[in-house]
Amino acid sequence: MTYKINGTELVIQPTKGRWVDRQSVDIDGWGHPIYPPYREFELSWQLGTMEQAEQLRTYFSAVGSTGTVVVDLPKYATNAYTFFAYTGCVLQEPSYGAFFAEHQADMLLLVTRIKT
Amino acid sequence: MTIPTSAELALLRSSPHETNLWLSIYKPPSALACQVNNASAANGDRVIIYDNVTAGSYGLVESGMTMYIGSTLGARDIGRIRVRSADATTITVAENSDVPWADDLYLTIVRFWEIDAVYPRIIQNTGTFETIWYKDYDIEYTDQNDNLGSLICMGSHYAGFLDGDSCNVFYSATGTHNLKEEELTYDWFFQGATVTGSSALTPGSIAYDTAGHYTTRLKVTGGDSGVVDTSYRHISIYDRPENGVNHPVLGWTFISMDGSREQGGYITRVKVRDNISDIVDGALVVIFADDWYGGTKQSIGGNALGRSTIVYVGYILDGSITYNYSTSSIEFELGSPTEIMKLAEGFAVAVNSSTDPSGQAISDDNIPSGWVLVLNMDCERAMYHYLRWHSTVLYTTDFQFLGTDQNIEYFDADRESLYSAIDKLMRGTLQGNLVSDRQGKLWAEISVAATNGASGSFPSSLEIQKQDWMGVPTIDEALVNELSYLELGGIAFDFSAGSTAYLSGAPGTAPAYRGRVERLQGHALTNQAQLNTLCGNLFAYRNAKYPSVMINLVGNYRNLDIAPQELVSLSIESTENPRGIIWNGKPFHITEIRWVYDAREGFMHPSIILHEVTQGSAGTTIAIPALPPSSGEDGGGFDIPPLYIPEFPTISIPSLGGVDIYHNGDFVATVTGINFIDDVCE
Repeated sequence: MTYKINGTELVIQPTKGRWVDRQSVDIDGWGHPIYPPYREFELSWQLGTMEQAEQLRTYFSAVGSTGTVVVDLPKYATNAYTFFAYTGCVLQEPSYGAFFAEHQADMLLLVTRIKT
Repeated sequence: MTIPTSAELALLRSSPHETNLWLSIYKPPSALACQVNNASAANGDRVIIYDNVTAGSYGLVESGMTMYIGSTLGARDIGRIRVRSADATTITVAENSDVPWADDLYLTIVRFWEIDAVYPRIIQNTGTFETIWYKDYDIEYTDQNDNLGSLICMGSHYAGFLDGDSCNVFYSATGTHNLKEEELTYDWFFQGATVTGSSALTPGSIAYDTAGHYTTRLKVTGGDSGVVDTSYRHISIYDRPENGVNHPVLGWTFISMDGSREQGGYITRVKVRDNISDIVDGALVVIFADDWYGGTKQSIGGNALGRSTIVYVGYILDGSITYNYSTSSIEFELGSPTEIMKLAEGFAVAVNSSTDPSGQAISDDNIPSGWVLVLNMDCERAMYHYLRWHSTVLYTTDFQFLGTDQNIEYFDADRESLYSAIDKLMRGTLQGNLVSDRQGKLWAEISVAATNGASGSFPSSLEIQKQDWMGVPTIDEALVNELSYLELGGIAFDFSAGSTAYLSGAPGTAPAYRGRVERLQGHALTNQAQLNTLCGNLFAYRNAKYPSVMINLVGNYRNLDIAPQELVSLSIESTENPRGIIWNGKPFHITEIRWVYDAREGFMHPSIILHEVTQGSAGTTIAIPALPPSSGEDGGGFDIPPLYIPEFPTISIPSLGGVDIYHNGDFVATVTGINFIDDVCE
């Protein structure tokens, strides 16, 4: 049960991963919220190696402008902690914090357009 | 086909709605690439001699194709022109004076039919006062306005993906209408498909197995007259992004897509980040979709049969392309075919109705050519004549007339745009208009306002319920009349009995106490009663209590469009609004749609603006006074009084008294009769 992108395990597994709460587009005439179809998942690393930072950058460079990826993530809304390969996902550009002791701090990767 | 089935309605009301939009720019393949071979080529040439063929052959050239003229191979920097025909040595093009033809210019004829005006030509017969009339430079009148053709419907331009090595494109000519109600035969040619042709009204799904840009041609022939009409649609087949190399534009952003019946169609704004050389003025763009409703992959809506995935068909509007060098992006506007028709200006056209155009052209000295007569003309026939002989519109897009047509004796189009000529005819004679739907089909329709019993005459496409809208609907309530009095006038024309004029006024003999007075003339009518009904209905529509209701819909309701006109019904309870308005399935019709798409969220939804459907009370007849007699005992008439031209007064010009001569500042004498023959100096 590991995080993977396009079948390749990430060099270092993220410190944290979470499903981002969907924002409702609006409410309908009955007062029910209307949600968009996709969800987003956020992977974050408190501290990572430069190799790991480069791996994220490479994934994004390969698919950042037009392509999609398959991402293995903890399955949404199940009764067990299992991983599932979500296809057709889009990567937002990874964000990076400051350098610390020759390492990259506060890295964050947002996976969007996840169809659950 | 915008009326959803019960299964589609269930999908529309499922959630979530998911949409992926794709952008296709049609890249027309070459039919012939060559160079001008004429050292004396010059402006105004129509027959272009060519050599150095580098691609294709003249046998692939069809009438109406576009030819690019460039200074390098494949370029279009010198201009573009419509092709009439080609043979082994020459290409005949449309009449032109703006192309600087020169030897060795590069010519590229592409399989692309564009919307343009077609110019008529009138010349004087040498040595006589007779004129000779032509269409498209040299087409003489034979029997074209006696034997009328067909308005073709064959579906929209198309773009789609190969799925499982095949892309199925649905074809049907349903909606095609012959103006003389003749039996029709159909001749389809599917370039690039696994099946090359069909003679069926509805060939159904035709498979393509190779990515590329293709053209489908349909020839429709009248069974009695033998008149052939031809139309073309462009088909772009792509590999999905994860497969192959032939992809649609991937790096792009949908900005907006706004449709309005008043504007006659849609304007769409798009931003592209890829460096695409195909983004040029006039390029054909198709936006297509993958749609899911509650997890079920299906597309809903669109008027073309089997073309629900086609979201939008338009052309890049001239001069709308802007380059943003800081973001490395290109932004441009797309317009429906009606927007391109607004850019193309035709010559003035005038035609009369005739029961025998060919015969009358020979027997009537006042008729210079059969080209100015149309057999038993009504509005649809007038529009066909204009679009068929004065434009290329019917080559490129479906056209359908809806409503009750009327006979007309005369049709006059000014020197104006193609759109204006047709739209003005519809508005002025039938209280209708010309509107393009999202997929680019042209609908000439009589408006809801002018339709008696409209709530029962138009199909109802959706009963909008609370789960269909989000946010807060905006309801405009008009508490004051726009019109206090409406006077309508027009002519009922019978092909044998001639014309009868009618006038009507609404609300009756006395105007309302608020609003302005409006008078509209020139309608094509059936009789006085029909005019009274029309007048009353228009008065009621213009004074509608609810002229605008704006609703944001909760999802991808692509079953809704601005054309053809369909009704939606609204229900509101008194407790749901501070005005205490109660609507129970109240009928409205769509006047505007604005689409929003968020690619990151895969969410597409429209805001729609509705107008109340009204029903008025018949107006009252206004008696048209008899023409005053111009002579005889009943009076009338008048004599032109003799004109008195006052005597021209004598003007006396006082003579000069003479010239004072000075010498060295001293006066010498005053003399007369001097002629100065050289410079005068001290």
